[in-house]
Amino acid sequence: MEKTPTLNYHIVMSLKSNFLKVYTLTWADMKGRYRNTFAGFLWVMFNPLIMFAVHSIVFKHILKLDIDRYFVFLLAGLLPWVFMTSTIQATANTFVTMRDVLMSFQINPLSLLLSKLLDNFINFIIPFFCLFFFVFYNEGIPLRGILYLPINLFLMLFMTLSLNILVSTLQVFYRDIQYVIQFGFSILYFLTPIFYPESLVPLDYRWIMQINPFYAVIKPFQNSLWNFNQGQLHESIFAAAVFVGIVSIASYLTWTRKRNELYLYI
Amino acid sequence: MNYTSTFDPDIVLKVENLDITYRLAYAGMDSLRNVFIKALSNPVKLLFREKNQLELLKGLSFELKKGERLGLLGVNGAGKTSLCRTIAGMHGKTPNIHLRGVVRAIFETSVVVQPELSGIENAKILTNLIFHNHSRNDREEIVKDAVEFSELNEFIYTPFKHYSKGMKARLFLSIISARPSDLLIMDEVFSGADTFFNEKISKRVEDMIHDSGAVIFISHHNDLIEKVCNRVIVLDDKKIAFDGPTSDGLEYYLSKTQGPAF
Repeated sequence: MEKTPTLNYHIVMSLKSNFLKVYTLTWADMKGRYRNTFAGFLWVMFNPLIMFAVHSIVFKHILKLDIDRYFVFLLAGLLPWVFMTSTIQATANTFVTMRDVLMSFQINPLSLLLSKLLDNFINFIIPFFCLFFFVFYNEGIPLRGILYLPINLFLMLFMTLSLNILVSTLQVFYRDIQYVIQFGFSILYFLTPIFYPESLVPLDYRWIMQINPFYAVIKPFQNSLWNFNQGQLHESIFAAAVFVGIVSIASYLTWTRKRNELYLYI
Repeated sequence: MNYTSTFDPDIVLKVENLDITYRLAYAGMDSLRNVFIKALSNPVKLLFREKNQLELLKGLSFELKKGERLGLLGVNGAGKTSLCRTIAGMHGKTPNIHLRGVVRAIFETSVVVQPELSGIENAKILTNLIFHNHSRNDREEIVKDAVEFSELNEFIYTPFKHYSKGMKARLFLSIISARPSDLLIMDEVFSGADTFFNEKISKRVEDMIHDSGAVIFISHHNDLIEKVCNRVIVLDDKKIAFDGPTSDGLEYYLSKTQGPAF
Protein backbone atom coordinates (compact mmCIF):
# COMPACT_ATOMS: atom_id res chain seq x y z
CA MET A 1 0.00 0.00 0.00
CA GLU A 2 1.35 3.43 -0.92
CA LYS A 3 2.22 5.56 2.07
CA THR A 4 0.75 9.04 2.20
CA PRO A 5 3.39 11.62 3.15
CA THR A 6 2.63 13.15 6.54
CA LEU A 7 2.38 16.85 7.31
CA ASN A 8 5.71 16.64 9.20
CA TYR A 9 7.32 15.18 6.10
CA HIS A 10 6.07 18.14 4.02
CA ILE A 11 7.33 20.62 6.62
CA VAL A 12 10.80 18.99 6.79
CA MET A 13 11.05 18.82 2.99
CA SER A 14 9.88 22.42 2.67
CA LEU A 15 12.49 23.61 5.21
CA LYS A 16 15.19 21.58 3.44
CA SER A 17 14.20 23.03 0.04
CA ASN A 18 14.09 26.58 1.36
CA PHE A 19 17.46 26.16 3.04
CA LEU A 20 18.96 24.91 -0.24
CA LYS A 21 17.49 27.86 -2.15
CA VAL A 22 18.74 30.47 0.35
CA TYR A 23 22.15 28.79 0.58
CA THR A 24 22.45 28.68 -3.24
CA LEU A 25 21.47 32.33 -3.63
CA THR A 26 23.80 33.48 -0.83
CA TRP A 27 26.66 31.54 -2.42
CA ALA A 28 25.79 33.06 -5.83
CA ASP A 29 25.70 36.58 -4.37
CA MET A 30 29.03 36.19 -2.64
CA LYS A 31 30.73 34.57 -5.59
CA GLY A 32 29.23 37.08 -8.02
CA ARG A 33 30.42 39.99 -5.92
CA TYR A 34 33.88 38.48 -5.56
CA ARG A 35 34.10 37.79 -9.30
CA ASN A 36 32.81 41.20 -10.23
CA THR A 37 35.41 43.34 -8.50
CA PHE A 38 37.77 42.15 -5.86
CA ALA A 39 38.11 45.75 -4.70
CA GLY A 40 34.34 45.89 -4.25
CA PHE A 41 34.48 42.83 -2.05
CA LEU A 42 37.28 44.38 -0.01
CA TRP A 43 35.33 47.63 0.29
CA VAL A 44 32.40 45.79 1.85
CA MET A 45 34.78 44.17 4.31
CA PHE A 46 36.76 47.32 5.04
CA ASN A 47 33.86 49.74 5.06
CA PRO A 48 33.04 49.16 8.77
CA LEU A 49 36.74 49.17 9.65
CA ILE A 50 37.29 52.50 7.88
CA MET A 51 34.17 54.01 9.50
CA PHE A 52 35.44 52.80 12.87
CA ALA A 53 38.89 54.33 12.34
CA VAL A 54 37.50 57.69 11.11
CA HIS A 55 35.07 57.98 14.03
CA SER A 56 37.84 57.11 16.50
CA ILE A 57 40.16 59.76 15.10
CA VAL A 58 37.51 62.49 14.79
CA PHE A 59 35.65 62.07 18.08
CA LYS A 60 38.36 60.69 20.36
CA HIS A 61 41.45 62.52 19.14
CA ILE A 62 40.24 65.66 17.33
CA LEU A 63 37.03 66.60 19.17
CA LYS A 64 38.33 64.85 22.31
CA LEU A 65 34.97 63.52 23.50
CA ASP A 66 35.42 62.33 27.07
CA ILE A 67 33.85 58.89 26.75
CA ASP A 68 35.18 55.93 28.66
CA ARG A 69 36.33 52.96 26.51
CA TYR A 70 35.41 54.75 23.28
CA PHE A 71 36.56 51.89 21.02
CA VAL A 72 34.14 49.50 22.74
CA PHE A 73 31.41 52.11 22.51
CA LEU A 74 31.95 52.48 18.76
CA LEU A 75 32.06 48.71 18.27
CA ALA A 76 28.73 48.31 20.07
CA GLY A 77 26.96 51.17 18.31
CA LEU A 78 28.52 52.11 15.02
CA LEU A 79 29.01 48.62 13.59
CA PRO A 80 25.41 47.40 14.00
CA TRP A 81 24.28 50.75 12.55
CA VAL A 82 26.54 50.36 9.50
CA PHE A 83 25.33 46.78 8.99
CA MET A 84 21.62 47.63 9.22
CA THR A 85 21.65 50.77 7.11
CA SER A 86 24.01 49.46 4.42
CA THR A 87 22.03 46.21 4.10
CA ILE A 88 18.68 48.00 3.77
CA GLN A 89 20.09 50.43 1.19
CA ALA A 90 21.80 47.66 -0.76
CA THR A 91 18.73 45.42 -0.88
CA ALA A 92 15.97 48.03 -1.35
CA ASN A 93 15.84 47.45 -5.10
CA THR A 94 16.19 43.64 -4.98
CA PHE A 95 12.76 42.75 -6.40
CA VAL A 96 13.21 45.16 -9.30
CA THR A 97 16.77 44.12 -10.17
CA MET A 98 15.94 40.41 -9.81
CA ARG A 99 12.83 40.77 -11.98
CA ASP A 100 14.01 38.21 -14.54
CA VAL A 101 14.45 35.54 -11.88
CA LEU A 102 11.14 36.30 -10.17
CA MET A 103 9.22 36.28 -13.45
CA SER A 104 10.80 33.10 -14.83
CA PHE A 105 10.02 30.35 -12.35
CA GLN A 106 8.69 29.68 -8.88
CA ILE A 107 10.91 31.25 -6.29
CA ASN A 108 9.81 32.87 -3.09
CA PRO A 109 10.83 36.55 -3.42
CA LEU A 110 11.68 36.58 0.28
CA SER A 111 14.42 33.99 -0.26
CA LEU A 112 16.20 36.57 -2.45
CA LEU A 113 16.11 39.07 0.42
CA LEU A 114 17.19 36.50 2.98
CA SER A 115 20.18 35.48 0.87
CA LYS A 116 21.28 39.11 0.46
CA LEU A 117 20.91 39.64 4.20
CA LEU A 118 23.10 36.60 4.94
CA ASP A 119 25.67 37.71 2.37
CA ASN A 120 25.88 41.10 4.08
CA PHE A 121 25.92 39.50 7.52
CA ILE A 122 28.94 37.35 6.62
CA ASN A 123 30.67 40.47 5.34
CA PHE A 124 29.79 42.24 8.61
CA ILE A 125 30.69 39.51 11.06
CA ILE A 126 34.33 39.22 9.90
CA PRO A 127 35.28 42.90 10.51
CA PHE A 128 33.08 42.90 13.63
CA PHE A 129 35.08 40.10 15.25
CA CYS A 130 38.39 41.56 14.03
CA LEU A 131 37.52 44.76 15.90
CA PHE A 132 36.02 42.79 18.76
CA PHE A 133 39.38 41.12 19.53
CA PHE A 134 41.19 44.41 19.05
CA VAL A 135 39.06 46.27 21.62
CA PHE A 136 38.87 43.22 23.92
CA TYR A 137 42.63 43.33 24.40
CA ASN A 138 42.91 47.11 24.43
CA GLU A 139 39.98 48.22 26.56
CA GLY A 140 38.33 45.03 27.82
CA ILE A 141 34.78 43.71 27.42
CA PRO A 142 32.80 42.14 30.30
CA LEU A 143 32.58 38.39 29.76
CA ARG A 144 28.99 38.22 31.00
CA GLY A 145 28.04 40.80 28.39
CA ILE A 146 29.62 38.73 25.62
CA LEU A 147 27.19 35.91 26.45
CA TYR A 148 24.32 38.14 25.31
CA LEU A 149 25.90 38.74 21.91
CA PRO A 150 23.96 35.96 20.09
CA ILE A 151 20.62 37.43 21.32
CA ASN A 152 21.67 40.92 20.24
CA LEU A 153 22.83 39.71 16.83
CA PHE A 154 19.60 37.76 16.34
CA LEU A 155 17.45 40.82 17.15
CA MET A 156 19.56 42.93 14.79
CA LEU A 157 19.22 40.38 11.98
CA PHE A 158 15.48 40.03 12.47
CA MET A 159 14.97 43.80 12.54
CA THR A 160 17.05 44.21 9.37
CA LEU A 161 15.18 41.42 7.58
CA SER A 162 11.80 42.90 8.54
CA LEU A 163 12.83 46.36 7.35
CA ASN A 164 14.29 44.81 4.18
CA ILE A 165 10.97 43.17 3.36
CA LEU A 166 9.06 46.36 4.08
CA VAL A 167 11.34 48.65 2.06
CA SER A 168 11.88 46.25 -0.88
CA THR A 169 8.14 45.62 -1.23
CA LEU A 170 7.26 49.31 -1.14
CA GLN A 171 10.11 50.11 -3.54
CA VAL A 172 8.27 48.12 -6.25
CA PHE A 173 5.26 50.45 -5.96
CA TYR A 174 6.98 53.72 -5.01
CA ARG A 175 10.23 53.88 -6.94
CA ASP A 176 11.73 56.73 -4.93
CA ILE A 177 11.68 54.89 -1.59
CA GLN A 178 15.39 54.13 -1.76
CA TYR A 179 16.24 57.83 -2.08
CA VAL A 180 13.89 58.73 0.77
CA ILE A 181 15.54 56.01 2.86
CA GLN A 182 18.98 57.33 2.04
CA PHE A 183 17.93 60.82 3.12
CA GLY A 184 16.25 59.43 6.24
CA PHE A 185 19.38 57.53 7.25
CA SER A 186 21.57 60.62 6.95
CA ILE A 187 19.27 62.37 9.45
CA LEU A 188 18.89 59.35 11.72
CA TYR A 189 22.66 59.00 11.88
CA PHE A 190 22.82 62.17 13.98
CA LEU A 191 19.76 61.23 16.03
CA THR A 192 21.05 57.78 16.98
CA PRO A 193 23.53 57.62 19.89
CA ILE A 194 26.20 55.64 18.08
CA PHE A 195 29.13 58.05 18.27
CA TYR A 196 27.93 59.87 21.41
CA PRO A 197 26.30 58.19 24.43
CA GLU A 198 22.63 58.66 25.29
CA SER A 199 23.68 60.16 28.63
CA LEU A 200 24.90 63.29 26.79
CA VAL A 201 21.39 63.92 25.44
CA PRO A 202 19.24 66.25 27.61
CA LEU A 203 16.24 64.48 29.18
CA ASP A 204 13.78 66.55 27.14
CA TYR A 205 15.12 65.11 23.90
CA ARG A 206 15.52 61.47 24.91
CA TRP A 207 12.11 60.52 23.52
CA ILE A 208 13.65 60.89 20.08
CA MET A 209 16.02 58.04 20.96
CA GLN A 210 13.22 55.99 22.48
CA ILE A 211 11.13 55.89 19.32
CA ASN A 212 14.09 55.07 17.08
CA PRO A 213 13.84 51.37 16.02
CA PHE A 214 17.53 51.29 15.05
CA TYR A 215 18.62 52.48 18.47
CA ALA A 216 16.26 49.95 20.06
CA VAL A 217 18.35 47.07 18.67
CA ILE A 218 21.68 48.89 19.12
CA LYS A 219 21.12 49.64 22.81
CA PRO A 220 21.41 45.98 23.93
CA PHE A 221 24.85 45.86 22.23
CA GLN A 222 25.91 48.94 24.22
CA ASN A 223 24.43 47.57 27.45
CA SER A 224 26.16 44.23 27.10
CA LEU A 225 29.56 45.25 25.72
CA TRP A 226 30.13 48.83 26.91
CA ASN A 227 28.21 49.77 30.08
CA PHE A 228 27.22 46.33 31.33
CA ASN A 229 24.28 46.35 33.69
CA GLN A 230 22.16 43.23 33.77
CA GLY A 231 18.92 45.00 34.74
CA GLN A 232 19.26 47.64 32.03
CA LEU A 233 20.38 45.02 29.55
CA HIS A 234 17.28 42.87 30.10
CA GLU A 235 15.12 45.95 29.81
CA SER A 236 16.77 47.00 26.53
CA ILE A 237 16.51 43.46 25.11
CA PHE A 238 12.80 43.43 25.94
CA ALA A 239 12.33 46.88 24.32
CA ALA A 240 14.25 45.71 21.24
CA ALA A 241 12.07 42.57 21.00
CA VAL A 242 8.94 44.75 21.14
CA PHE A 243 10.28 46.98 18.33
CA VAL A 244 11.27 43.95 16.26
CA GLY A 245 7.77 42.52 16.82
CA ILE A 246 6.05 45.74 15.69
CA VAL A 247 8.25 46.14 12.60
CA SER A 248 7.81 42.43 11.75
CA ILE A 249 4.03 42.70 11.91
CA ALA A 250 4.05 45.85 9.74
CA SER A 251 6.35 44.12 7.31
CA TYR A 252 4.26 40.93 7.24
CA LEU A 253 1.02 42.85 6.65
CA THR A 254 2.58 44.92 3.87
CA TRP A 255 4.02 41.82 2.23
CA THR A 256 0.79 39.80 2.31
CA ARG A 257 -1.22 42.78 1.07
CA LYS A 258 1.12 43.65 -1.79
CA ARG A 259 2.41 40.20 -2.78
CA ASN A 260 -0.11 39.54 -5.56
CA GLU A 261 0.45 42.89 -7.23
CA LEU A 262 4.23 42.53 -7.02
CA TYR A 263 4.37 40.64 -10.33
CA LEU A 264 2.36 43.34 -12.06
CA TYR A 265 4.67 46.18 -11.08
CA ILE A 266 8.24 44.82 -11.06
CA MET B 1 -2.35 25.76 -1.74
CA ASN B 2 -3.29 22.38 -0.29
CA TYR B 3 -1.38 19.18 -0.82
CA THR B 4 -4.20 16.81 -0.21
CA SER B 5 -5.05 13.21 -0.84
CA THR B 6 -8.76 13.47 -0.16
CA PHE B 7 -9.79 13.63 -3.81
CA ASP B 8 -9.64 11.14 -6.71
CA PRO B 9 -6.01 9.88 -7.04
CA ASP B 10 -6.13 10.52 -10.80
CA ILE B 11 -6.70 14.23 -10.23
CA VAL B 12 -3.47 16.25 -10.17
CA LEU B 13 -5.04 19.70 -9.82
CA LYS B 14 -8.39 20.88 -8.58
CA VAL B 15 -9.32 24.56 -8.84
CA GLU B 16 -12.49 25.48 -6.93
CA ASN B 17 -14.29 28.76 -7.27
CA LEU B 18 -11.12 30.78 -7.74
CA ASP B 19 -11.19 34.57 -7.96
CA ILE B 20 -8.16 36.61 -9.03
CA THR B 21 -8.37 40.30 -8.30
CA TYR B 22 -5.62 42.91 -8.29
CA ARG B 23 -5.59 46.22 -6.49
CA LEU B 24 -4.36 48.68 -9.05
CA ALA B 25 -2.21 51.72 -8.42
CA TYR B 26 -3.74 55.13 -8.99
CA ALA B 27 -2.49 57.29 -11.82
CA GLY B 28 0.40 59.46 -10.69
CA MET B 29 0.87 57.57 -7.42
CA ASP B 30 4.03 55.72 -8.34
CA SER B 31 6.34 57.64 -6.03
CA LEU B 32 6.26 58.88 -2.45
CA ARG B 33 6.87 62.36 -3.80
CA ASN B 34 3.61 62.25 -5.78
CA VAL B 35 1.70 60.77 -2.83
CA PHE B 36 3.05 63.62 -0.68
CA ILE B 37 1.99 66.24 -3.25
CA LYS B 38 -1.51 64.73 -3.56
CA ALA B 39 -1.83 64.47 0.23
CA LEU B 40 -1.06 68.16 0.59
CA SER B 41 -3.14 69.37 -2.36
CA ASN B 42 -6.28 67.34 -1.61
CA PRO B 43 -6.05 65.15 1.54
CA VAL B 44 -9.80 64.39 1.60
CA LYS B 45 -9.78 63.03 -1.94
CA LEU B 46 -6.73 60.91 -1.16
CA LEU B 47 -8.27 59.41 1.98
CA PHE B 48 -11.69 58.68 0.52
CA ARG B 49 -10.75 57.61 -2.97
CA GLU B 50 -12.62 54.69 -4.49
CA LYS B 51 -10.98 51.29 -4.63
CA ASN B 52 -9.33 50.72 -7.96
CA GLN B 53 -9.55 47.00 -8.60
CA LEU B 54 -9.04 44.73 -11.57
CA GLU B 55 -11.12 41.57 -11.41
CA LEU B 56 -9.33 39.17 -13.72
CA LEU B 57 -11.04 35.84 -13.03
CA LYS B 58 -14.19 35.04 -11.10
CA GLY B 59 -15.49 31.75 -9.74
CA LEU B 60 -13.14 29.63 -11.84
CA SER B 61 -13.41 25.84 -11.31
CA PHE B 62 -11.81 22.94 -13.16
CA GLU B 63 -9.91 19.72 -12.60
CA LEU B 64 -6.84 18.34 -14.31
CA LYS B 65 -6.22 14.59 -14.44
CA LYS B 66 -3.05 12.58 -14.96
CA GLY B 67 -2.14 12.46 -18.62
CA GLU B 68 -4.04 15.64 -19.49
CA ARG B 69 -2.10 18.28 -21.39
CA LEU B 70 -4.16 21.41 -21.11
CA GLY B 71 -3.76 24.30 -23.51
CA LEU B 72 -4.82 27.61 -22.00
CA LEU B 73 -6.12 30.09 -24.54
CA GLY B 74 -7.34 33.64 -24.24
CA VAL B 75 -6.54 37.10 -25.51
CA ASN B 76 -3.79 39.11 -23.82
CA GLY B 77 -4.98 40.14 -20.36
CA ALA B 78 -7.49 37.30 -20.08
CA GLY B 79 -5.71 36.02 -16.97
CA LYS B 80 -3.78 33.02 -18.31
CA THR B 81 -0.45 33.88 -16.72
CA SER B 82 -2.05 35.06 -13.48
CA LEU B 83 -3.93 31.77 -13.24
CA CYS B 84 -0.71 29.81 -13.81
CA ARG B 85 1.18 31.89 -11.23
CA THR B 86 -1.59 31.33 -8.72
CA ILE B 87 -1.57 27.56 -9.36
CA ALA B 88 2.23 27.54 -9.02
CA GLY B 89 1.89 29.18 -5.58
CA MET B 90 3.63 32.39 -6.59
CA HIS B 91 0.83 34.47 -5.11
CA GLY B 92 1.03 32.71 -1.76
CA LYS B 93 -1.28 30.12 -0.30
CA THR B 94 -4.72 29.85 -1.89
CA PRO B 95 -7.38 27.62 -0.32
CA ASN B 96 -9.16 27.28 -3.67
CA ILE B 97 -6.34 25.28 -5.23
CA HIS B 98 -5.63 21.63 -4.41
CA LEU B 99 -2.54 19.97 -5.80
CA ARG B 100 -1.24 16.44 -5.74
CA GLY B 101 2.53 16.28 -6.05
CA VAL B 102 5.09 18.81 -7.23
CA VAL B 103 4.26 21.64 -9.60
CA ARG B 104 7.00 23.15 -11.74
CA ALA B 105 6.27 26.36 -13.59
CA ILE B 106 8.40 28.06 -16.22
CA PHE B 107 7.49 31.50 -17.54
CA GLU B 108 10.61 32.80 -19.28
CA THR B 109 13.73 31.17 -20.65
CA SER B 110 16.41 33.85 -20.78
CA VAL B 111 16.89 33.97 -17.03
CA VAL B 112 20.14 35.08 -15.42
CA VAL B 113 20.77 34.72 -11.71
CA GLN B 114 24.34 36.01 -11.59
CA PRO B 115 25.63 37.59 -14.83
CA GLU B 116 29.21 37.67 -13.53
CA LEU B 117 29.31 33.90 -13.05
CA SER B 118 29.90 31.40 -15.84
CA GLY B 119 27.24 29.41 -17.66
CA ILE B 120 28.01 26.25 -15.72
CA GLU B 121 27.83 28.12 -12.39
CA ASN B 122 24.46 29.61 -13.38
CA ALA B 123 23.34 26.14 -14.47
CA LYS B 124 24.18 24.81 -10.98
CA ILE B 125 22.33 27.70 -9.33
CA LEU B 126 19.24 27.27 -11.54
CA THR B 127 19.24 23.52 -10.97
CA ASN B 128 19.36 24.00 -7.19
CA LEU B 129 16.51 26.53 -7.38
CA ILE B 130 14.28 24.58 -9.77
CA PHE B 131 15.01 21.00 -8.70
CA HIS B 132 15.40 21.80 -4.99
CA ASN B 133 13.40 18.73 -4.02
CA HIS B 134 15.76 16.35 -5.86
CA SER B 135 18.79 14.66 -4.29
CA ARG B 136 22.24 16.20 -4.59
CA ASN B 137 23.44 13.43 -6.89
CA ASP B 138 20.44 13.88 -9.14
CA ARG B 139 21.01 17.62 -9.32
CA GLU B 140 24.64 17.06 -10.28
CA GLU B 141 23.45 14.63 -12.93
CA ILE B 142 20.96 17.22 -14.27
CA VAL B 143 23.71 19.87 -14.59
CA LYS B 144 26.08 17.44 -16.32
CA ASP B 145 23.35 16.31 -18.70
CA ALA B 146 22.13 19.85 -19.42
CA VAL B 147 25.63 21.14 -20.13
CA GLU B 148 26.27 18.26 -22.51
CA PHE B 149 22.87 18.56 -24.18
CA SER B 150 23.06 22.33 -24.65
CA GLU B 151 26.26 21.93 -26.73
CA LEU B 152 27.58 25.25 -25.48
CA ASN B 153 31.04 23.65 -25.36
CA GLU B 154 33.75 26.09 -24.20
CA PHE B 155 31.17 28.92 -23.82
CA ILE B 156 29.90 27.15 -20.72
CA TYR B 157 32.90 28.58 -18.81
CA THR B 158 32.45 32.19 -20.00
CA PRO B 159 30.48 34.72 -17.90
CA PHE B 160 26.74 34.48 -18.46
CA LYS B 161 26.55 38.21 -19.23
CA HIS B 162 28.24 37.50 -22.58
CA TYR B 163 25.57 34.97 -23.63
CA SER B 164 23.05 35.77 -26.34
CA LYS B 165 19.36 35.34 -25.58
CA GLY B 166 19.37 32.15 -27.62
CA MET B 167 22.31 30.69 -25.69
CA LYS B 168 20.66 31.46 -22.36
CA ALA B 169 17.43 29.83 -23.55
CA ARG B 170 19.33 26.79 -24.81
CA LEU B 171 20.94 26.22 -21.40
CA PHE B 172 17.76 26.96 -19.46
CA LEU B 173 15.61 24.69 -21.63
CA SER B 174 18.23 21.93 -21.32
CA ILE B 175 17.97 22.21 -17.52
CA ILE B 176 14.20 22.37 -17.18
CA SER B 177 13.62 19.56 -19.67
CA ALA B 178 15.90 17.23 -17.72
CA ARG B 179 13.18 15.84 -15.45
CA PRO B 180 9.39 15.55 -15.70
CA SER B 181 7.13 16.66 -12.82
CA ASP B 182 3.66 15.91 -11.45
CA LEU B 183 2.29 19.15 -12.88
CA LEU B 184 4.24 21.13 -15.42
CA ILE B 185 3.27 24.70 -16.33
CA MET B 186 4.87 26.28 -19.38
CA ASP B 187 3.93 29.83 -20.29
CA GLU B 188 5.15 31.00 -23.71
CA VAL B 189 8.55 29.43 -23.09
CA PHE B 190 8.82 28.37 -26.70
CA SER B 191 8.76 31.94 -27.95
CA GLY B 192 11.81 32.79 -25.83
CA ALA B 193 14.44 31.88 -28.34
CA ASP B 194 15.09 30.70 -31.85
CA THR B 195 16.82 27.67 -30.49
CA PHE B 196 13.55 26.14 -29.45
CA PHE B 197 12.91 25.44 -33.07
CA ASN B 198 16.03 23.45 -33.09
CA GLU B 199 14.66 19.93 -33.50
CA LYS B 200 16.88 18.48 -30.80
CA ILE B 201 15.64 20.66 -27.94
CA SER B 202 12.00 20.63 -29.04
CA LYS B 203 12.00 16.83 -29.09
CA ARG B 204 13.45 16.75 -25.57
CA VAL B 205 10.91 19.30 -24.27
CA GLU B 206 8.09 17.32 -25.89
CA ASP B 207 9.35 14.10 -24.25
CA MET B 208 9.43 15.84 -20.87
CA ILE B 209 5.90 17.15 -21.42
CA HIS B 210 4.66 13.65 -22.23
CA ASP B 211 6.45 12.14 -19.22
CA SER B 212 4.98 14.68 -16.79
CA GLY B 213 1.83 13.85 -14.80
CA ALA B 214 -0.19 16.72 -16.26
CA VAL B 215 0.66 19.84 -18.20
CA ILE B 216 -0.70 23.36 -18.51
CA PHE B 217 0.59 24.95 -21.65
CA ILE B 218 0.25 28.56 -22.81
CA SER B 219 1.23 29.59 -26.30
CA HIS B 220 0.04 31.95 -28.96
CA HIS B 221 1.20 29.41 -31.55
CA ASN B 222 -1.89 27.36 -32.34
CA ASP B 223 0.15 24.68 -34.10
CA LEU B 224 2.08 24.06 -30.88
CA ILE B 225 -1.15 23.87 -28.87
CA GLU B 226 -2.45 21.33 -31.38
CA LYS B 227 0.76 19.30 -31.25
CA VAL B 228 1.23 19.30 -27.45
CA CYS B 229 -2.27 19.44 -25.90
CA ASN B 230 -5.16 17.01 -25.64
CA ARG B 231 -7.54 19.48 -23.96
CA VAL B 232 -8.16 23.21 -24.23
CA ILE B 233 -9.65 25.82 -21.91
CA VAL B 234 -10.50 29.22 -23.36
CA LEU B 235 -10.65 32.09 -20.87
CA ASP B 236 -12.92 34.96 -21.73
CA ASP B 237 -14.71 37.62 -19.70
CA LYS B 238 -13.34 36.40 -16.32
CA LYS B 239 -14.54 32.83 -16.77
CA ILE B 240 -14.10 29.59 -18.70
CA ALA B 241 -15.77 30.10 -22.06
CA PHE B 242 -14.81 26.71 -23.46
CA ASP B 243 -13.47 23.46 -21.99
CA GLY B 244 -13.03 20.44 -24.25
CA PRO B 245 -10.98 18.71 -26.95
CA THR B 246 -8.09 20.62 -28.57
CA SER B 247 -9.44 20.86 -32.11
CA ASP B 248 -12.85 22.10 -30.94
CA GLY B 249 -11.19 24.52 -28.53
CA LEU B 250 -8.98 26.00 -31.21
CA GLU B 251 -11.94 26.30 -33.54
CA TYR B 252 -13.94 28.04 -30.83
CA TYR B 253 -11.04 30.39 -30.00
CA LEU B 254 -10.44 31.28 -33.63
CA SER B 255 -14.12 31.96 -34.18
CA LYS B 256 -14.17 34.25 -31.12
CA THR B 257 -11.07 36.14 -32.16
CA GLN B 258 -12.17 36.19 -35.80
CA GLY B 259 -9.03 34.90 -37.42
CA PRO B 260 -5.77 33.21 -36.51
CA ALA B 261 -4.68 33.82 -32.92
CA PHE B 262 -1.26 35.01 -34.02
